[in-house]
Amino acid sequence: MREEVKRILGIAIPLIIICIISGAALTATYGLTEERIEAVEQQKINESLSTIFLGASFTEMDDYYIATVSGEEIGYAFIAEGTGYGGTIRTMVGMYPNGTISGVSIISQSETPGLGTRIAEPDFTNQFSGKRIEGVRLRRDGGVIDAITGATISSRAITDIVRERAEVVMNETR
Amino acid sequence: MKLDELTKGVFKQNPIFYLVLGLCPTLAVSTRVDNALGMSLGVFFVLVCSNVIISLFKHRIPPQVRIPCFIVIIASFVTIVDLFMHGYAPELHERLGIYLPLIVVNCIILGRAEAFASKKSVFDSFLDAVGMSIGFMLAIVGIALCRETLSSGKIAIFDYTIVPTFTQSPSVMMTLPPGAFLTIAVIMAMIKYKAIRKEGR
Amino acid sequence: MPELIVSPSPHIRSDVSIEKIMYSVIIALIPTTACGIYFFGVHVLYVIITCILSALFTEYVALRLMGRKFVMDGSAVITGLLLALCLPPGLPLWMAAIGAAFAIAFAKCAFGGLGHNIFNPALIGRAFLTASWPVAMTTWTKPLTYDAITTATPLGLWKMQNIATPYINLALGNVSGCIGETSALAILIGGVFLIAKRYIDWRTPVSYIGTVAVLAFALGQDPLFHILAGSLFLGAFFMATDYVTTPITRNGRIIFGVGAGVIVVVIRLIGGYPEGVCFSILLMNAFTPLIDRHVRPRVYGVKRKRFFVSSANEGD
Repeated sequence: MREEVKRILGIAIPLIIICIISGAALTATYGLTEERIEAVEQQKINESLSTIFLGASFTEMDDYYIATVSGEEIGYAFIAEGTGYGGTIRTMVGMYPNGTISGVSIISQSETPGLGTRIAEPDFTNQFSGKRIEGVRLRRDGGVIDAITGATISSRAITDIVRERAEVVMNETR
Repeated sequence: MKLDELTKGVFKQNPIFYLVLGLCPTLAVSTRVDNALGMSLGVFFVLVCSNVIISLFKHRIPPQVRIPCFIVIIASFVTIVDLFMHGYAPELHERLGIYLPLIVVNCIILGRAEAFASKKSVFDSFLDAVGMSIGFMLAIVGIALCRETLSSGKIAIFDYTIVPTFTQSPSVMMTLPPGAFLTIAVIMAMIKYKAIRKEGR
Repeated sequence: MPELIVSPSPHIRSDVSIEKIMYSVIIALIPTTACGIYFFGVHVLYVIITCILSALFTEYVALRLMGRKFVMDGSAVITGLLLALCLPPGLPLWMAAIGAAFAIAFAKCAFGGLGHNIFNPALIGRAFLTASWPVAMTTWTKPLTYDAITTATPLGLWKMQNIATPYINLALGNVSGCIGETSALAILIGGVFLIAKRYIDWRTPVSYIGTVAVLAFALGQDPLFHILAGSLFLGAFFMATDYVTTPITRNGRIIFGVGAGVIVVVIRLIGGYPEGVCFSILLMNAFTPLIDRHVRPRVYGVKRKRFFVSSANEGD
């Protein structure tokens, strides 16, 4: 019996020690890089926020931002994400309180290069500006957005992502 | 003799073209030369560290649980690379995406740990890791150079243009995984063709 | 010199040679080619010549590299011609040349040359070009204008805007589309010629086109539109009947046609692309060895037991 316990411990203890050392090393690395990573992530969000409402300052709410210019509330900004043709599409959306989209910018996407990636080009994203939430659909789905030729799925994905999230935020802010 | 351990990974036992290991990251991140370089640096760091550590403790690691031990060690180094890259090279981190944490399951690293580092001396393991990393880097950067050239219509590394735009309509397919398969196949075929010709003479 | 030659069947040699069949196919493609040139102008002729020359040149180089002799058997000419016929009329010539070279080098010679390829080389060339230059490969010229006014294909119009094209235009070819796919009538003439000469089996095109018609009808679509629009006729008569990449047995050919027909309808109605003929034939090409393995011709004199022979008691 004692032999058996000894054998098992002989196997387990080295593994445990390796795990403890690894854990310690990771904790230390995490502590070293935590601040830096947070700053990087925050900067990414800030950059896309500032492209949506130029010159505004932002207050973070639960899952959206309130944009203010000299103390006055001018709109909301929020991140909308969902599945496109090639993976997750992450967008930053700006919306006026009356339910009109002020602008859309793509934070990250992995669509087909040369076709689906054109959803990130201003020619496509500028279409969203000034459109009411209900109209954010492709023309062939009864909306006012022109799809990119050859990339209907990506185009539809982004309009759905933006519209669905905008509706949720609209209800929350009402 | 010692030099052999270093050079074998570069040519004779090139991990990608001869051992055919580590193809998943090769397919995924060889779209651009700078991505490929970033990936190679990550693999270099993880492979050298894990090979040295595993070789150092090879007599302490019980053979029954050696694979879990290797994976814990490798995964720790991968996470360290991941965290540092996220903080200090965020753009590269985003482009490598999921393939950076997936270095854990890069067959080259576990393969070298199991086949080499767990049997040989620390110094030999170090040389082996360096050689394999260089071999991996040459292969993946070579593939990336072909793919980036054909898929962007120009050669530019780190915004430094070497060959200016030669076509307005480059091949989209070369940015997709089939492009990587084709490139690897063509390079492998050329290597084999040369080897057969050499044997025949 | 061996005195006694022992070889497996067939032992009877006919005077039908590869060259003869290949050149008959080329003759059968003349009406289609002529239609393409008439509707889309002289650039089409350049695309066709480029594809054929590129295919021949690539075959020559590849065979030399493989240490084999180049034989002018017409198969490379057909690959080049068929590829050209399923390209958009306004495609840049260098893309056409790359497509033909890719088709011969990767889809044919890399597998060991004529008779060894799994996939139809012309369609691989097309698939490669579609993946590489999706924009150029979906830029369609308006027929009879000769100055590169772009429009959507009948299938594109149907899928994106729900607009139907008159049958008469689809039959004659006065619509936009690939060089050789627009005129159903011209393809039919060539196809019937080949069937009459017994160079191709009527079962494949009939089961293929029939499946598309039946399935389209069953799903509430216009069956006549679905068989006339797109490259279904071209694919059914000239690509799904390729000797090397499709089943050898009669029943196998029917299975091939039905399978390809189902895939076409699925891609057209559910998939992202308006047209699915190219992919349907390539996918069924992949199933061809399986079909040939399980659908065996009845051995003469042996009582028929079951239609399908299970692989367990196959004995090879």
